[in-house]
Amino acid sequence: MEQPDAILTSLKLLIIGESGVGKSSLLLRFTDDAFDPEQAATIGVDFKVKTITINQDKIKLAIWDTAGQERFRTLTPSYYRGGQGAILVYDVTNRDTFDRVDNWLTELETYSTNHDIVKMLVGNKCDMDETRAVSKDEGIKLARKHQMMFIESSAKTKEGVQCAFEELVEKIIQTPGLWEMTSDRKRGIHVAQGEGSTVPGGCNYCSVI
Amino acid sequence: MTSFVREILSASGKLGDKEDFMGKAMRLERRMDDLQTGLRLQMEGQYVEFVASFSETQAHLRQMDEAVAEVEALTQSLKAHLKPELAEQTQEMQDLWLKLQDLAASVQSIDLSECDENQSKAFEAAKVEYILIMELLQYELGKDWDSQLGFVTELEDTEDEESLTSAKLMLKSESDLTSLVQGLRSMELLSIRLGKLGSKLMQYFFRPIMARNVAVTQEHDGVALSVHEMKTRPEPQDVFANISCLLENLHRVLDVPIDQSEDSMTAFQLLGLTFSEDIVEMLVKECLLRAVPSEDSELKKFEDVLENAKKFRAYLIDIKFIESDEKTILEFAANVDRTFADKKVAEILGKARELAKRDLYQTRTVTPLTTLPDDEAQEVAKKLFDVDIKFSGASQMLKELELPDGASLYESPFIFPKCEVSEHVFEIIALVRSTLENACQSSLMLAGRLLEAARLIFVIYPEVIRTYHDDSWKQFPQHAALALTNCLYLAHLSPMIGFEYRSRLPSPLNENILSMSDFVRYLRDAGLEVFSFQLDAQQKSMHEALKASGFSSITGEADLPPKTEQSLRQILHQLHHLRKVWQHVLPAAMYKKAIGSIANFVVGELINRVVALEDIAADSAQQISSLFNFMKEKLPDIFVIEGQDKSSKYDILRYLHLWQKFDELILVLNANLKEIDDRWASGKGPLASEFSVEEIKHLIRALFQNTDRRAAVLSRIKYEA
Repeated sequence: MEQPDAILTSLKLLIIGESGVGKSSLLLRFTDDAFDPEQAATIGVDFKVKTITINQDKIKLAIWDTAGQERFRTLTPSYYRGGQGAILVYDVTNRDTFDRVDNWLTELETYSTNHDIVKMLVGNKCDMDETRAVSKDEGIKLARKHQMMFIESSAKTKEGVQCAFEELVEKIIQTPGLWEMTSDRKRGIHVAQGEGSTVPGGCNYCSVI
Repeated sequence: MTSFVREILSASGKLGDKEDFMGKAMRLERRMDDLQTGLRLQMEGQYVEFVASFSETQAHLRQMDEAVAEVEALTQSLKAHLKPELAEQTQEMQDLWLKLQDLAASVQSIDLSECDENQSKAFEAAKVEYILIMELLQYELGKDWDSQLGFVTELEDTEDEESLTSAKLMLKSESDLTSLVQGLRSMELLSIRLGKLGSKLMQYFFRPIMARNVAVTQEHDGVALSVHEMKTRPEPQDVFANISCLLENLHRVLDVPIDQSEDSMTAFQLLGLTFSEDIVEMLVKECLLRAVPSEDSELKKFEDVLENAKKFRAYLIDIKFIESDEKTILEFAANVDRTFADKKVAEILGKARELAKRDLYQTRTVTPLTTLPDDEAQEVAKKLFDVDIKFSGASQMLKELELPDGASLYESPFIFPKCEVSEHVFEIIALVRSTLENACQSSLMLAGRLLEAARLIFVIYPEVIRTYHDDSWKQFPQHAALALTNCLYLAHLSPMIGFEYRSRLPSPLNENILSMSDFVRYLRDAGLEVFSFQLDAQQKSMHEALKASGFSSITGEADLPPKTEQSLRQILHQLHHLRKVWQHVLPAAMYKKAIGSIANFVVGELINRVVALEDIAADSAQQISSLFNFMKEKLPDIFVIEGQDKSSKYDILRYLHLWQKFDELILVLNANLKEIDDRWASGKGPLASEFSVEEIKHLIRALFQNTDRRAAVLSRIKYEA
């Protein structure tokens, strides 16, 4: 079990985008360094936890992977609630998925509780250059238009996957007010909490910094 | 005086006391005189008294003799002249009767004890005889009347006058009833006799004539009525003819003056005065009102009936059976249009009620239908909702919207989703349409009434569902669903149904918006009320099954009781049964919502029961999780509608709101502390979005022993800022 005091913070990341663009594959590659060419459609929500180290800081990522297909989605706002970073994925070989990025942005803005949530546009399946339908430039343009970061990736070849997550996390860390240190780190000392304590964490939150 | 004898006797001395003889005789003589005088005086006094009394009595007796003689003379004269000169004598008799009464009174005032006994007896006898004669007279008159106007009746069942098969009024047509009638009149018996006659006529003639198919015929000795058919109602024409035949005969014998005055009423008139009101009222109510048709085609024919009714009225006035100011028949004729409308409306509403009462389970599938082409629909919408929508454009827009596979948005608000409705709903709609069609071809007054009737059908229908079918929908979930779709289907059609007819309605009805849209809410509410009852009932029964499942009794080491699995299987079975009876009846989305709400209730109960457990042994956790996994595997199937894509089982995500929570709970039951910690993820994981801090802490304490690791995990589970 990890030492809690080694964790700088926990971040909630969301992966959204059209069905079949490779959201679950990206997550699998990132968390388990694996790839399943027969990856099944996600039903409801998938969730994974991964701890990464950025600038010697350990950061715990709670990554939510949602179903792209409308009918498999629960449509619960809880999915977006508290999200600090979002990865918007499209398939570079499928123009439609790129065109619909706008819709996903709209949904994100509608439900997001952090209005300065950090967004990363990811053009996945960039290994399939021969069937490419969306150029990198178009991706960059769209990302710029909506103040998103941008990267092309391939869950199959690992290209850009690690980078996409790390860049996103770094940007979140650099964004003031978007994240807070865990209470343990903030205090600098470890105080074992009594078992019966159900006092919300918020009470020892503002006193530091 | 000194007498000679006394002197001698006293002189002789011998006389002694004989000397006083004279004095004694004289005293005696004086006494005798006194007595004589007294007696005479007394006798004289008594005589005077007697004479006075005697002469008085004599006078009385004389007067009485006169009176008795007079009575006798009168009685004799009455007796002698009674039969031949009845008419002339009656008035006199009346007077005499009065005088007699006076006399009798004065005679009675005399103290009879002082009268001669014989004379008193004679008076008594005269009185008795007089009464006997009067009684005899009444009796004779009555007998005479009965022999003139008699009834013979035959009833199939002697107890019941309804079973009358024939009746006959015996009339001696050749005799003149004048003297009889006047005799009765002067004896004050005429009204009673006519009243009795009238009642019998009502019973044996007028009532049967108006209620049944009968024939009234004239025979040589009277009028006969025979019943042809008990059940069928007579035509007004026959009723008029039958009554005419009867009245003609009565008129012939009873058209005689009841007294000798110039302007005397006739007995027939008197009969009419007493009974015509009832008879005319009965004629209108029993015969004419019933004869008013409810079909327009027959209304023309009915005008002949009205014409005949007016002629019949004229005839009744002519024979003086009714007064010329009698209005009932005329009023009926004037209001026949309204009566026709009343009848028609009553018939339509009665039919609607009957249709609505038909079984719910005879069903027909409705497929998405557009009742109006787009451009017409636009006009409707514009009129109804005051909006200007290009539906074709809207349809296009809707088509362009990205929709999940298998889901479909209605292309127009005038499309109803596929479902089943009871067969009788189509007949209800047909009835509404035919009523409106009828209104288009009717007079303004009738059209207005018909429109109202058409609207009332939409009120009656949900009422019948609520009341008449309540056993059915309370008992059977399928029937409750049908009650709902029926109401929804009618609610769907109601705003548009009038529109098709509006332009053809008589002016000014065509200028208003003819819409039943105000019933949409009403119908929907009625349907939802019925269906909600079933939803509640189903939830209650699931709740009962869960209560019996023994979840709350799970403690520490014990294995799950076998009834736990059994009750979960029961619940699944029940849900699958509901799927069977609802999936095709309800529109797909509505079905899923309904079944989802019940399943959600079940899942919620399961979650709450587990979360509430104080101590869950590892074995129990295993068993619960495998039971829940069984549920998790089976529940999605209830969202798959037979004959449709199997993948619709994932609709469970949409319709069973606690599905994710249920899923998380199963994970927790199988997880170690680290896995739970990760899934909580400082309040950023899915566990945190489904469970409260208290719930998850309680679960951890129930599942894990008190260790430092548990304490560490618990310390990290808290509300995040």
